[in-house]
Amino acid sequence: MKYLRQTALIVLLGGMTGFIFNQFSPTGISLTGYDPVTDVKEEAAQANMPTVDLAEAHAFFMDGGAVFVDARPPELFSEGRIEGAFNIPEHAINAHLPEFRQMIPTGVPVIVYCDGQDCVSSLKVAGDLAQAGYQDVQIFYGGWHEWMSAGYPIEWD
Amino acid sequence: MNRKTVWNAVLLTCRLVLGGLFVAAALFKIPDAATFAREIANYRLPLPVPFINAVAVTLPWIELLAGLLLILGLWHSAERPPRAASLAGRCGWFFFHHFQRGALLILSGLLVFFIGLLAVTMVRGIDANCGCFGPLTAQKVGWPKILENFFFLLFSVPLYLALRRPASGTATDSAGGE
Repeated sequence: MKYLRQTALIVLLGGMTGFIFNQFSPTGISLTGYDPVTDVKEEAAQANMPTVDLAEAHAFFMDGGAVFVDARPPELFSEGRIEGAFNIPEHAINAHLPEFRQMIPTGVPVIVYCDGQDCVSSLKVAGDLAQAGYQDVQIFYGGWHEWMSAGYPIEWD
Repeated sequence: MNRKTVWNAVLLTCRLVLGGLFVAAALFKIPDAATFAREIANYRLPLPVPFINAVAVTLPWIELLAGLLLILGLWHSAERPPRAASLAGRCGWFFFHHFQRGALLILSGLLVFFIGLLAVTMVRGIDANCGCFGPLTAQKVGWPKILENFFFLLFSVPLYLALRRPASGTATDSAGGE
């Protein structure tokens, strides 16, 4: 009981300090007005990065003219991915890029995806691929979950 | 070096590591509540937006306060100051005397909560940044983060054990000082 009373007081004191600091800080946020949910489609538009929706991504897949790049960590990639996708994780781009460049010419269209619309790994990887010389890099903002939910071809290890 | 000296050194290390970890984590997160809120949202828990924002605004301060209490308690005497002592000295003693147990409970409780949250996120197959140290570090949710949290949780064990022992002079002899 003594523990809980102390805990409640620390939480109360820390919480009140946080609210007061947020109120007067230039980097403070509105508790009801700020939307913390990431939207990769919006962020891609701000970064002038082209995007594709599920239907367009599927059309690229069926056409066979584009390469899919999965920007998620290797564990998630192993558990399931778009059929034929390459894995270039956000935090290991430099380790994977040389091999990818050897296999895929820079003129080939590349579709990058991650988990879904609320992850930004794809944006980071797409930016690095564009910097590496790939001329046609697009982001499939629906990502893995939308592709899987649609029942389109997937594979796993 | 006798056993008591070694034990005190262990307690000192545990306080500094556990308290320092949360103080550092809080200092990274406090200047950028917006990014921290996004990292919380990235866990995709069914929580209302105002609640996520409120957690982003308050949690780093709670971590900072609890971490500081654990560290500053090093200089806290278990013995009540005499009536002749200054008001500030008596207030300071009261504060540290009564809040160190709560600080330890909060910090260890947060680590247990983080371990559970990381495990659930992994099971759900969500690609998320940990958000543990704010925007400056982009560690991913995964086994390394879970093991790291278990490692830091171990530092709370000697402090809890010390709470069970009777106080003997200073707070480094007993984590709670009571």
